[in-house]
Amino acid sequence: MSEFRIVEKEECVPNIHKLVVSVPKIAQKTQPGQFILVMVDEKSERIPLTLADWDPDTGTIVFFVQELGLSTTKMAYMEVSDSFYSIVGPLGEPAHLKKFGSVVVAGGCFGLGGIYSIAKELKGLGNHIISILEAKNESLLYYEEEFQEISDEIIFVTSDGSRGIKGHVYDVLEDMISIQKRKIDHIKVIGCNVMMSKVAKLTKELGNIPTYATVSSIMVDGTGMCGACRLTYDGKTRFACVDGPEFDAHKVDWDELIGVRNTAYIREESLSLQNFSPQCRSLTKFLEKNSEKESV
Amino acid sequence: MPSQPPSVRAKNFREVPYGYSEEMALTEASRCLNCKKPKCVEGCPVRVPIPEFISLIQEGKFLEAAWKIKERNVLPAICGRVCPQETQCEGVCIRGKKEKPVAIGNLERFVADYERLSGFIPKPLIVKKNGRKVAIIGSGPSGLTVAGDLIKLGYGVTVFEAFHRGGGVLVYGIPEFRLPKSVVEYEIRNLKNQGVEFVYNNVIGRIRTIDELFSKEGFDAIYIGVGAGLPVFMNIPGENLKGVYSANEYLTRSNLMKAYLYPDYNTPLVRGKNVVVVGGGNVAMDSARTALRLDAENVYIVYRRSREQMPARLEEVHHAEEEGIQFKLLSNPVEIFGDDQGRIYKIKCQRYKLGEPDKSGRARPIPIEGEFFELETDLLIVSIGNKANPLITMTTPDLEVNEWGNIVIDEFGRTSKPFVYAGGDIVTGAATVISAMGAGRCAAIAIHEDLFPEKKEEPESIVTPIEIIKVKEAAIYTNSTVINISLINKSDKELDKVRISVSHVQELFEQTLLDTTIMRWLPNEIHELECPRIHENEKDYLLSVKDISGILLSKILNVEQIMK
Repeated sequence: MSEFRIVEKEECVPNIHKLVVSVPKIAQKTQPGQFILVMVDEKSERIPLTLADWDPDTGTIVFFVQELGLSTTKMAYMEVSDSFYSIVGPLGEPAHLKKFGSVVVAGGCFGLGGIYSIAKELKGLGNHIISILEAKNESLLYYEEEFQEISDEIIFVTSDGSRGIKGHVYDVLEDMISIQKRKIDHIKVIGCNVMMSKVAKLTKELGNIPTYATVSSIMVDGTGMCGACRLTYDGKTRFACVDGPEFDAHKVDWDELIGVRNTAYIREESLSLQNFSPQCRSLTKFLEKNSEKESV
Repeated sequence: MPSQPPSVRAKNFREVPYGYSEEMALTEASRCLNCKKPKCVEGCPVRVPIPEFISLIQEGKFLEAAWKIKERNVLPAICGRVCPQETQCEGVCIRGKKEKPVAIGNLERFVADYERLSGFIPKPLIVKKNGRKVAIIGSGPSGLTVAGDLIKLGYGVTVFEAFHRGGGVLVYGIPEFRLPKSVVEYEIRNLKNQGVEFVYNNVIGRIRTIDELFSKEGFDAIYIGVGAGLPVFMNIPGENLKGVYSANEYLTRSNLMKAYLYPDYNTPLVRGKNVVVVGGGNVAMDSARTALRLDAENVYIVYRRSREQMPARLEEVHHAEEEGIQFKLLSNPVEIFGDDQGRIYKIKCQRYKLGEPDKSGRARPIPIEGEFFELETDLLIVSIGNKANPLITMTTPDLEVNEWGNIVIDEFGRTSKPFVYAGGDIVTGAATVISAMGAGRCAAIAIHEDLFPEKKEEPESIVTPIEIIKVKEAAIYTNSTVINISLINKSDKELDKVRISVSHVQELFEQTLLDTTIMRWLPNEIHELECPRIHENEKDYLLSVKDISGILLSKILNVEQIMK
């Protein structure tokens, strides 16, 4: 049996896939907030993905992938019992977790999976969990049941208002803090960098509420060797792969991360995707079967 | 050595020198004087028996020559290509005093390539397993050396590698045109054939800590050879702009992830028209030459000191220059400017002059106030060195590190933690492939000594095993209080860490009179010892000589016989 085999795969909402992969060594060792670097095949890039769940007993790990660039699109074409070329992990420092009191865990789009593991652990530590789950449309909300189980309160927010509140995570937070005057001790957020930067700006203005964000960066090796994932944190250069990926959101230079670091390869990314012509899988399998028959 | 013409090779990733033909190798080998006391061997960190392998070339025994090297160096095809020979073996060659030194590196490369291309795959040595397991962290040059040495001694050897391919810096750092990856793959395949297990995609420090390797996986010793993997940046404005890379990132993308074959391989790389590489080492040369091959029009090396102080290998500087790399010496960037898209478009550099030598012995560069110039550039590669990667030391609190985060070891590679050894760049900071291999060899000996310590009791019978060491002469001069013994290495092998002891045995009481270790013992070399006598009446002395593989000589010296 090869390593890194997919044991379960589901397109939970359009374009977002839940993958369960067998990697016992990683499943035994992961802590909330850590990530893996994945290569689909020998020619792939190495892309970082935050782990949503893991089970040391079955030796499986769970992560969510949003089809966006080439590697994630390739993953969408993979099927159960296919194998990844390489999975390295767990990488990064675990999220900073303890009993804070009342904690908001906010996730958007592909970030729902990543924030889940953090929320689950925080709940176990005796915190009051307020989950805020964001998506563009009600049909894009996933992992709901899992969040219901571990949340004391759960708030849905959609850009078009089709479910819950209309708006974004930061709109909900603003309402909770400045209008409802709720006391919030700690905020954890995972989602796109733009959303996280806006949350950071808001919570800084509203009395410096401790806010920790798991940044999304471009990475190559994930061990601190290359510096591709560097960002400016508190005026100093930090590497997301070894110093993070969770950072105090108030100290991250978001403009640089969003506008400069993470847009370095936009041209190449779209070119890669245009070059991608997936093989028709059923045809390949048909041909494989035929050749087997012939050899028999 | 014949090479691709500069204008051709600057546009492809194939290896630059073609290598020797057999005739050329024979001609070059005939220049070797086969010195009695070969300086070249002393200049080599792993002490390759250079005159011996060159004599074998002279006789046309190319395969045998390759095997001769492999007695001391498990990776000759790699060392022949990447060693800084001009400061090592070739730098001290006698022929070099009047003319060109013997091209030892080229000859080493030739025989290693000859062996590889001959289709001869070395048969795995059948070694009795000794039951001990050693973990090696990092599959770079030092890790591979330790693996090669220990597998021959019967250890179970597992190499953990963070990347999906083995070779460490040989694969991610050194470009294809300088070291073809097929060469590295061949060496790794050889080690696999011999029984070394390679575990890829495992970042030790994360997936397992050092302590867990001992407790959960049952390893008896661990060697850390993870290299210096934390790039140093210049800390100047604009360093995070698009188009600014650490050399590590640039080379890893190009070499390991094969971005030079983009988009067939998916990892992209910014291709610059005007490229600036900051630094003067081999890594800087590699980056500059890679950029040139990726369609750059102008490639500049910006370096604070002058050409003489450049740490790069002479051949690399020479090749870079031939290919059209432009050197902007005695200058250093002070600011990087970006456009509204956050993309680099120019840099500002300050001019420097040379001052008094600093601690490293090189002239200290001093900035000249007010003298600046600008360079238009769309790709900047920072190649000013690496710090120690903290992933392992961070998770192993009882591992002593120095103020720069490098692991502290004793002269044999032992760290402060029992049964943990280290070597290569994680100990020394950025250095060469061959010095990392030298450190690996040293640590392999230490591991063997610690896991199979010499038994305390002396052998009961005095049966001389293999007479590798012989007593050439033993004498007591009139009125002398010492016995003079001279020993000679009769084998054709160089011996490491030979321990010589002389003791006096009387009934059950044993007294050691002399105990000394000789670190390196060349073939036919004579060592003279002076051993104190206890009393005139005591006549018998036990002389024993050992190295890691066992007893080399055990003999009773009888004073009366000696005096005759």
